[in-house]
Amino acid sequence: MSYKLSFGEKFFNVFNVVMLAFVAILALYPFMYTLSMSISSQAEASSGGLHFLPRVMQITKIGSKEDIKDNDIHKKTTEDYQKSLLLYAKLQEKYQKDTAEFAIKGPNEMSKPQAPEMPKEHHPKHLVMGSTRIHYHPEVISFMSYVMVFKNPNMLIGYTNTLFRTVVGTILVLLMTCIAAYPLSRKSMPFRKQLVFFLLFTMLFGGGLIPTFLLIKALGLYNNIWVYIIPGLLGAFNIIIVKNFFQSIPDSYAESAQLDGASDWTILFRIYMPLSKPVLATVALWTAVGHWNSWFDAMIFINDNTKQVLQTFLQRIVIEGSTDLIEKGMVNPDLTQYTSDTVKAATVIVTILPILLVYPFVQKYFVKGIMLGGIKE
Amino acid sequence: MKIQIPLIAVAVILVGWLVWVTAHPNSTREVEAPINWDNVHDDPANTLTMSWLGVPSYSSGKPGSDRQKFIENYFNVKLNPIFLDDNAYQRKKPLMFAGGDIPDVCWENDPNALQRDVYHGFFMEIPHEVILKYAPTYSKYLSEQAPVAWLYSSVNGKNYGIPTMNLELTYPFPGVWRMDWLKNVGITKVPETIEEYHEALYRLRNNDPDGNGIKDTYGMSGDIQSWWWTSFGDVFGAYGVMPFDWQLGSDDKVVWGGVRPEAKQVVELLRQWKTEDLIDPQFTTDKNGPPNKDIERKFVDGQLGYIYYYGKFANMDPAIPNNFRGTVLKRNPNAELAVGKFPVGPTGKSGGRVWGAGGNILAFGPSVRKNPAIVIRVLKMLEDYTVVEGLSTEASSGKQFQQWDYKNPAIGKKSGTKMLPPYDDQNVAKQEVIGGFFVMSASTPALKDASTPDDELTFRNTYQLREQGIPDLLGKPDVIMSAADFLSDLRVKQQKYYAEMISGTEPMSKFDEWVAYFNEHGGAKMTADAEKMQQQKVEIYKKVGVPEKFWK
Amino acid sequence: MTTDVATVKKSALAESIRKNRTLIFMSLPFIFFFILFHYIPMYGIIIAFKQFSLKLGILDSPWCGWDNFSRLFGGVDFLKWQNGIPSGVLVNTLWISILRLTLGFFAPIVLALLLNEIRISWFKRSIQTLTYLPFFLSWVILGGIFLMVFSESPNGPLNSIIISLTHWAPVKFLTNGDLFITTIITTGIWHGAGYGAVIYLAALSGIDPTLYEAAMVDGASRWKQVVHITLPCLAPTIITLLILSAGGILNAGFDQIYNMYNPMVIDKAEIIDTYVLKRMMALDFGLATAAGLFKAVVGMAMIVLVNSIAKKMTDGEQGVW
Repeated sequence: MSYKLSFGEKFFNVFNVVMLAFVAILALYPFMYTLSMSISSQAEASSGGLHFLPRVMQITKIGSKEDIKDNDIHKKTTEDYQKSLLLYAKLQEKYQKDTAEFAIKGPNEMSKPQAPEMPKEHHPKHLVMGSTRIHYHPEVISFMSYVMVFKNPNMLIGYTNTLFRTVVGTILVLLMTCIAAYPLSRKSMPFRKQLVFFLLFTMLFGGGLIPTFLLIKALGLYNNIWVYIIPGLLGAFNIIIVKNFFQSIPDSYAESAQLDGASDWTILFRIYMPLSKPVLATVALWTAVGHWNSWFDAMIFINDNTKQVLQTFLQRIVIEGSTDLIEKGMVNPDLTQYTSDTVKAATVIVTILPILLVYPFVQKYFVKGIMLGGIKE
Repeated sequence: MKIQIPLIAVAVILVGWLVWVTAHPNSTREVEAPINWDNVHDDPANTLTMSWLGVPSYSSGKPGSDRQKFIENYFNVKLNPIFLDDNAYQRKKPLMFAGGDIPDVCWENDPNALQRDVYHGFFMEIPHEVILKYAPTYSKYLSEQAPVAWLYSSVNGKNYGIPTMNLELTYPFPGVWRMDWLKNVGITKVPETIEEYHEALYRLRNNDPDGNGIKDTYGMSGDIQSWWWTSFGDVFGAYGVMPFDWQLGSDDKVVWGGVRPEAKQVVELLRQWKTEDLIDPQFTTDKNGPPNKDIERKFVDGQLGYIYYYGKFANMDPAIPNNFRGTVLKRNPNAELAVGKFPVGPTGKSGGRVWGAGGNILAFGPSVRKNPAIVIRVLKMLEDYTVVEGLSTEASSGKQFQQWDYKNPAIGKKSGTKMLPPYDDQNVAKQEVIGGFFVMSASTPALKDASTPDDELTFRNTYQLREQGIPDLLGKPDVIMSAADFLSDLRVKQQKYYAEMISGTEPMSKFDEWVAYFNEHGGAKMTADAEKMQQQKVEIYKKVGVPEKFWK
Repeated sequence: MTTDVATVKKSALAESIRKNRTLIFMSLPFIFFFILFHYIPMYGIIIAFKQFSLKLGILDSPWCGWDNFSRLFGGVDFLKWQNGIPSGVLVNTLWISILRLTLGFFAPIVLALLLNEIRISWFKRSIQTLTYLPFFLSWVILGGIFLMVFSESPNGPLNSIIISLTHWAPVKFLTNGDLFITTIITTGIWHGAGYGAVIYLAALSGIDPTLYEAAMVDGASRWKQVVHITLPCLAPTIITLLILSAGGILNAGFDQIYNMYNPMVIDKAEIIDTYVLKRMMALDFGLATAAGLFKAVVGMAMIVLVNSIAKKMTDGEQGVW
């Protein structure tokens, strides 16, 4: 730093870091919650509170600090559960004695005895913050929900179809986009401007859902697995991005190749495409993510269960709360090991896992893609 | 240039594909071509395969269930059941049909849906003659007990499926009185005429029936926001008018009940009662649909002495502790309930709204054209279920002692039936499609009575006379196609106009304004369509042999 | 003479076509594709003026003039007036969309500005990575997660905290119309802010560092640098994105709403896209197409309008084209 920071600026820096860290937690928390939920047992899943991996944080408002001492039962961890049960038995004994005494003496001489609270299993340790308790407790991790998910035959169907559309779709999109972008990037191409407008217009205006549905049906693509691939082969946006990149490649490359007798095909495949790896990687990643996440086309155009994609099954389980899909995977269910919520959470995790795994390694291409998209055409 | 050869190949494939697609016959178009049914014969020895979209409430059914196997063996068919839950039935089925996936046999729950689907060409025509020929008993029962069902399956004069019926919905529900209150104010029997009814309401309001010294009771309240559960339904019935249904006017033309002069008379009468402070002023805001149950709550709390539409056996059965009667008695141990009578009006009319006996429709997809014998086989099923005693029970619920038994074997049929374990579990029963997924049958009140427990039967014969049920002239108010565009809006407006006139905030002259509004905002078009439909109905009735008394 | 020019032009064109035949050949697939999947559906728009029947097809279905549109605007769902106050699908769409455009527009700018002030690069990178992660997940997934997080059962994560702290009844994040809109907007910002920030960060990295150096020499504070250098340099990006989002004025976020809404909030949360889908599922293709067409035309008009306004205001400097 070439100049001294004022107090205000120092304060801002600290504030900024704290603020952004909070934003990051906020961005991450729903996923943490889902992950935590997916490995929870029935008892923990239905206990409420903010779930943190692999614990539950509960915030409970309590009366006073004395109150905490009295209610020792609350403090027990899983190992202490047995002890707390013993304590409970003692308190219960005392309570019964007190009640009998109270019946004789009446409210004037002693206060009405309070029944002790039954200790809950795995009851939490807690932190005390003012009058607020934050519980956190190590839990028994249950993978039963994942067992349920993998026992569901639909998950395999969904995974297969989604993988198919992602891999095949992405490769074909790359190929077709390059073939379309190349002529548009060449200055000698007649009607170049008109063709670009021909593409751009489709970004401004479209026929809409119904005509598309009728077209798909007329083309014999209804209930046909190729409906995932074919209508999405080419997009104006991708073509323009690749075209712009091609244009940034010096003409001299192509010209000298042409002098050596190379055809346009050779120039495209041997020179342009290898030189455009960054932009192609970006397009490929965006396309792949798009395919992985697609659900609308499957919902509208596909009727057979065997042709559905992962997202549609996920939608049925998670959004519509359909349980029969879950039940189909059910073998000797141990109801203490999962709830419908934990199965939902496990399904979500299984679906997003591939994206989460590759995301850190490919994210720089995503950033490039966003920037390309933001650049003026 | 070699590299361009694959491209040419691709182009040729694409063009070929397009040509194939455009030349490919559009399957739904074929539906219209007539079939010569005289040449269609069904050989019972032939195993027929058919996909079957059944009732959505059995969506958790399993293919190959015992019930399915039973039907397959009995009728020599191979069934491919398609289980859609309610959600999928509403949302997925239309797109499935639009995409061309139409099962051979489709359960259509609603005549409106049938009309729409026929407009899009999803179903094939099934002439009445075919139904009459292959399912004569079934048709006869329909014609006598649920003639309007014939209308449900027809679109523009042609028939597009096999209608079914539901007798359950033909018994009207009268009101229930606090008899102890009536006795307190000097009335010893439930009111039978509209004057007695008025007198009872008057005394319930003014003579302190609960004896607490405070004027805190009303005779009646209403739920003006529900179009089919109006608390005033019995009063309208006394004048022979159902305000939210199609009816036959005095000139024998179809008319919307709510604009008839008789409706005006009733509104005026209610307005008079309101000025006399006989109607709970909260009738404009109270809602009795679940979960509110405002009026039921008031009755239970002892604020009302009368509640319309609660006179049904399930409500009044002393054997069930938590039903309506039980709740009232728990709250007011001294209460005495009496099921009311539909009050008789000045012209001798009386009655209450019923949904009517028209049921669902079994329609046939275009694929059946290739093998029309399927229609005949399905008709045979319906006919056999109707004629062969015990068959429909076995097909739908299974065998006695295996799947079900009488509640009281000593009494037998009359005691009602119960499912045996494991089928007493709803989930198991539904997986085994126990119930009506495949099975529809026609019945008569006599047959139905034979298996109804005696106390229920007595109740029905005393209080729920079928003659007093007033169904919509066309079965359902929204059965005409144009209703989809106008009806829901008009209903809301009608309720608003009625509420304003009855509560006295607007003059009675508003009624003419309402009639004008009705006619201007689609009512005229709906009425014309309804008239057309009525003509068609009579024609259909004549054709299928519905007894003449039902024609008008 | 004119014929000569024409002939010359024609032969020049012919020559150009001959010379570039491979290029032309290469463009055939995409021309064919776009005609098939984008321009032929545009022809299907005439369904909006027909009483469409699948049996009869587009050509043979009877014409019905503007009937579908009068049903759309005259019906009770799309646009209704109660005591002079409009409501219905169109109003919902505009309201949600405007909330998104205003509230959602600034969130990424603020995030980008905050990130830009961070000098620790690993921290900046990690924050960036985390905040735009949600953008890569579908709303089926996110909807599923949020339905759990905002669950209205007293045991829902958010509600259990609220209840234990305040002893309120469970907050109806998902079934109260207005609260649902709030939920939608908030989670929408959560979803898109990180992504939006990346674009602005890219623009920020393109700002000439000498500008800041000069400002520092003049003793300008960081706040002043932001106001006088950063924001003006961001303006072109902001305007471009504004134009692009103007076309989506009737896009209230179909994916999100479809996966999160329920019948309880239909009055407030039904938007044009969900309405079109619903009409389609009721096989009322004419009305569905009419509603879709209305949306498409308004969208195109908006983008052209905003573009020309942006051009005028900046003397032709700004604008998407």
